[in-house]
Amino acid sequence: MKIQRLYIGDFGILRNQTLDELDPGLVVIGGLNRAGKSTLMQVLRYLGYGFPKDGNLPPANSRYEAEADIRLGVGDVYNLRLNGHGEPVLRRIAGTKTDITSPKDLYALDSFSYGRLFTITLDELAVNRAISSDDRMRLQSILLGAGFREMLLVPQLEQAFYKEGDRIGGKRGNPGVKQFRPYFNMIEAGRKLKQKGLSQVQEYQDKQQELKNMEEAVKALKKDLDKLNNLVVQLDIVKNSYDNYLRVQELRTWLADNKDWEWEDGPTENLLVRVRSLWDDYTGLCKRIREKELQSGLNPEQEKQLLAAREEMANLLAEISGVQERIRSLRQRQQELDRKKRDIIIKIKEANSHWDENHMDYITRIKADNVEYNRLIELVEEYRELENKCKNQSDNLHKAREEFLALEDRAIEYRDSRPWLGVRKYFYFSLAFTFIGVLLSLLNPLSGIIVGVGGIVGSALFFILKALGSSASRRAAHEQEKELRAREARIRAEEGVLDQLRSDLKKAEETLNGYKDKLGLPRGVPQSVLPNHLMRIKDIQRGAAELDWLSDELEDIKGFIREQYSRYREFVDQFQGRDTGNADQGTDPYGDEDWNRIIQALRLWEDRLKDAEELRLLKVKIGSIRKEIMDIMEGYELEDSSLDESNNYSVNNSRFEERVSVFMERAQEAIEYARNEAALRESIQGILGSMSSDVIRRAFVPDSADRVNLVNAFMEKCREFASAEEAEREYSQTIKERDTKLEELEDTRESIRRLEDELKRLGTIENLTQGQRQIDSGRAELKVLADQYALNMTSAFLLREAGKNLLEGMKDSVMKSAGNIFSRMTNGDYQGILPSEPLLESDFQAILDEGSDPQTVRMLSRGTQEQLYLSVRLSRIMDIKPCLPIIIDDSFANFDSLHLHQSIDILSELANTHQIFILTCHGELVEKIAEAGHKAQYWLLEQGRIRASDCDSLSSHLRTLQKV
Amino acid sequence: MVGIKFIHTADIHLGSLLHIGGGKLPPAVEQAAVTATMEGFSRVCHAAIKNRVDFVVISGDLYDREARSVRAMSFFAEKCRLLEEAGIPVLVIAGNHDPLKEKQDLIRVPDNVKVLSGDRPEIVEIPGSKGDPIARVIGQSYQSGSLDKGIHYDYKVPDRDLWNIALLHTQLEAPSSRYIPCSLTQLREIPDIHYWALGHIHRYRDFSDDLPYIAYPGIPQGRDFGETGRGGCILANLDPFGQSQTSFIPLAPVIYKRVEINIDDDPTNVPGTLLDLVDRICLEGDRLLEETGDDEDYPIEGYVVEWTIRGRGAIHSQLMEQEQESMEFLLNSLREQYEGSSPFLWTDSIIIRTQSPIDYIDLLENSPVFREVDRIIDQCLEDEDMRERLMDELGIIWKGDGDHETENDLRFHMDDASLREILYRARYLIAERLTGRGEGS
Repeated sequence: MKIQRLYIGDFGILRNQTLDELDPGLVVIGGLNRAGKSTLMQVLRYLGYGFPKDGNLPPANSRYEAEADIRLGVGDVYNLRLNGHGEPVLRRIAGTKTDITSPKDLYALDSFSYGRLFTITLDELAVNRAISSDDRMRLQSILLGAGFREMLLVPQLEQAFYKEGDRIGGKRGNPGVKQFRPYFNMIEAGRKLKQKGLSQVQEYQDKQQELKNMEEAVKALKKDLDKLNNLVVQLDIVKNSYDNYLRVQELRTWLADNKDWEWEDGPTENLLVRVRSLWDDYTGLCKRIREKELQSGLNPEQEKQLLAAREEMANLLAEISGVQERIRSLRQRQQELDRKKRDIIIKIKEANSHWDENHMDYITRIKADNVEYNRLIELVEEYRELENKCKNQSDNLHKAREEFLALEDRAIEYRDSRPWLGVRKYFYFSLAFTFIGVLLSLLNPLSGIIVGVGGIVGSALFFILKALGSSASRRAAHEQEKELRAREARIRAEEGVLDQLRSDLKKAEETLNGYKDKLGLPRGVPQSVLPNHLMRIKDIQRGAAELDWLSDELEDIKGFIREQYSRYREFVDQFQGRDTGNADQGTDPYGDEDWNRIIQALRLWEDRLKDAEELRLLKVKIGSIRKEIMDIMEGYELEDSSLDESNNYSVNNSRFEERVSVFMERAQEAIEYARNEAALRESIQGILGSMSSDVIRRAFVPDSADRVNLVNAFMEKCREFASAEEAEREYSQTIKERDTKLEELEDTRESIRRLEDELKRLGTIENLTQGQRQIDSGRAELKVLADQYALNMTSAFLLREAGKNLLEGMKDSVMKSAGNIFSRMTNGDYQGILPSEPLLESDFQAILDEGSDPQTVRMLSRGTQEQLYLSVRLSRIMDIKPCLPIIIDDSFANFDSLHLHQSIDILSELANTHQIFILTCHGELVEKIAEAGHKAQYWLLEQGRIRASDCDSLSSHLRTLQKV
Repeated sequence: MVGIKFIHTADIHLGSLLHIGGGKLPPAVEQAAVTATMEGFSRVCHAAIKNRVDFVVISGDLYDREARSVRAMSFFAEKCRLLEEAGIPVLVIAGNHDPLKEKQDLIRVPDNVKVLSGDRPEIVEIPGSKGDPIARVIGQSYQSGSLDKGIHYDYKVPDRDLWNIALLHTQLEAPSSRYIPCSLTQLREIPDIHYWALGHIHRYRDFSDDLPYIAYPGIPQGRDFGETGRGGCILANLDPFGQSQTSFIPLAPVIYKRVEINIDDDPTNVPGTLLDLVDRICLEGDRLLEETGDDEDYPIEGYVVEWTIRGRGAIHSQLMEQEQESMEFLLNSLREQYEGSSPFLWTDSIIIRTQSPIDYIDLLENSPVFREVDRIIDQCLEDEDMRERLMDELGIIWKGDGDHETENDLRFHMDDASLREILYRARYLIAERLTGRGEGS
């Protein structure tokens, strides 16, 4: 492999420098110090691998840039381009090879090996090279392992595995580095979490203890609070009931002072009130009785009498209206009798105008009952027949007579009966209207009066008008009378005939007359009147009989009235003596005045009876009151109870009153005592009432529900304070104290709640679980990496061991080649090179000659050391295929001329197969190369600029400047 | 003597959580992860009540200092109350994970619980139903996190008239142990002990078919892949007429399971794609679920599975080249596939151990480097010094000593199997690289 063209765009001092048509063999580049030789060497060293970031390279102006055309064999040309620190980019320019696709294929050697073997500086050849032990071993392996391609692969593979292992877990497989790290962190975090979870147990225990302590504290606080609450309750009751306390104290003192007032089962206040009320009633009644007695004027005898006659008086009073009714009836009947009497008189007069009331007896004596009305009718008829016979004798006479008689009857009737009839009718009508008026007046007095008066007046007018009409008739009757007279004359004429007849007729007439006589009828009246007359007589007789009956009845009534009068009179007189009787001697007992007087008297006594009755009732009442009082008092034993049992108002009044007074006074005391006792009880009850709740009771008497104890405890507590105000102050103080305790309790409880929450949290296994999960996950991932790490490191180990063993086996053959070069380079001074043990860790040894001990490099001169190392390297370089470019940077400075010549010869030979860049600042070296006659290409490097040169120019340039 | 029955349990690590990988877990798995150890103990109590035992012994590590919580203590007290109601005493010794020194009686345990002394072996007589003692329980608690004294020599009982049950929290037969060093022979030589109720080892082990019985009940509920299989407790039935026997009651609700799948078991059906691989894994998953018995008393609530994929196939290159994506795809697919299954089947992890078809014979013949590598691998497996050198190379992260009692969360232990696995993988990797198959070749 030969570099055909090299372009350095930007690398340290070298910029835009091109080395065209580089020789495939020996290329000598001369330049003084700081001209850019080492820079150029580094470009060549890293050309196939890229510029490393940590290679202590000279800085780029802006960005590393280099390019090279590389020839492989005859026609294959590749372009390698480097940019910055990036991998070199390979591009085929010419040729047909297909197996080279990357710079690795081109160089086929790792960067380390190429750097250590093919780029040779004085540093590389020094004994005390500043390289690490690993690099030394690696280098040693490279230097010893020359010869096998597979062997060349071994370090690569080993490094690859090692690097892979290193990439995963670093050199020491520390879990906390490289790719292990994230999982290390995860596991660590998990462990911490788990540890936290585990420490929760301890924390739980601590917290539990803390909780226990707090609960104890709460208990103590609650106890204190209970005490304070009790005290608050006590003080609250004390301050609010302090008046009750004082009252109880006062009442207890009073009751003790007035113990003798105590009356066990004594009268109640109501009873005393009742007694007092009764007593008031009693005294009131006494007063009323006295006043009544004075007012009524009744003496006890009278009272007694009156009360005894109470029933009779009641009867009399009740009968007054009856008597008055009878008096009214008497008057009515009297009036009726008078009216009937008048009617009878009228009838008498109508029956016989000569008659008057004095004929009453006469008429009543008429034995009308002996006269048969029918016989009389027969007789009249017979009389009429006789008359008719007479008529037969004289038609006209008879007729005239009959007419005469008829006319005469009518005339008589007109004369005798008409005014009477009219008056009578008028009377009847008036009566009727009066009656109707009275009836109506019951309903409506005005209409009754109007109808009654109107009817009477109307009837009067009617009958007056009718009477005026009858006057004309009478005048006509008078005319008829005259005609009768005429006709009588004629009749008399014919009376002869008629005499007989008349005789008969007379007899008949006599008979009839006899009847007329009997009946007190004048004879002159027509026979035909007789029956009617008879009827009138009978009517009168009946009226008279009626009058008699009425009179009798009146007498009866009068008798009754008189009797009643006497009775009333007697009744009244028995109370007042005959003081009312003087006046009534000879008085009409039927008159209103008498009766009024007697009734008035009766009413007077009736009032007195009422008084008496009232007095009686009052006395009964007072007796009842007295009895009630006594009954009440009897229920309560007094020392003096020898009061009689009389309820009499007047009996033992003063003693009764005295006893009642004593009773009431004692009762009053007892009641007051009882009232105070009740007040005491009430006050105590009030106290107990205010202590009704269990809380309050327990506050005073925790262990007892006994009321006495409770009250005593209350009183005891009250006694601690001189006033309610003092209790109030104590109460406020205690409240404050309690509130403070309460706050303290609440705070502690809150702390307990927090602790409980904390304990709940600590009781969970969340941290443990999560931690374990994290550890497991981390370990699972870490295990994969650890596996990979182990695999790579094992592989590296196996390869390293294998490589070492193989190197051991190959050392003779490897060292033989290097020994030959070394011998030639030292011009035979040394025979060969031996590796030291252990192979990879020790340096080489130089064989001076047969039989002598090998010399370690440290025993050699510096030049010989460098020649040894150069020999070993060149030996390895010769074994390694492909033939990579060799760069030698002023590595011959310590070589003497002979050894330099020998070395140049060896290099010149090597240049047949390898392209060799010799970088030097020594003109001598350039000259030596030329002198040896080896083909070489010369380049001058000056101030970072490279240009083609020749041996002389370059040598001269270097020498001149060296002298300068 | 009368026959007695008791439950022997230990290493409950009550309240400790299941180590389940996979980021956010489904609710059922998450729930199981939190409650499984408690459920395990609950089932132990159930077994005690159901079998009407005379007492229950807990041979240490009731709690886990790494997971001691109030909740766990409350739970223990609650369950012991049930036992108390059933008249069953509970005898407990403290182990290295819950030594008496760290004992924190936050929650009052019922009166039927007796924690034996840490000063010296303490004897407790167990009364029978008639009040007469029927057994003695002797034991000594750990005072601190370790007890390197052979306290079993002090386990002296008065006589053999009662059943003598010895509680010992020991790492039996360990060459040097911080946890009561002793041997089976020593235990058998202690006179008059009828039953050695051991604790500390988390796997059920029964060392004897006859008196004296010596047994580890194992952890009732495993918590990681170091405790695979189904945990449980021992029901001991000691019979004076020679019919004594012990039986293991499996009762763990959750089972850790490692399942290996060789993709080239059937050369005609090697998974070619990730989907094929998922199907292949699901066959095994389905089989696992189908094989789950129907345990009414102690049903299996779920499996936490680690799948290891081995064998050669074309899928290997995909798995290697897109390792992270492939892994994510497989994990997500499997978790989705069994989402909501009952019992649950949670894919904790998938280990890819597939290989590309490399001709090792040719390589061994022609590659001196590979030959040398192969030789060094053998050397690492056989030579302790070489192994130590290799372990030095593996760095701090692999400095775990394998003692789960002291294991650091940030380190891993390289046991023999793991080392062999790593070495073979490295061998394979180097072969790949040397033959130009692997990365960077």
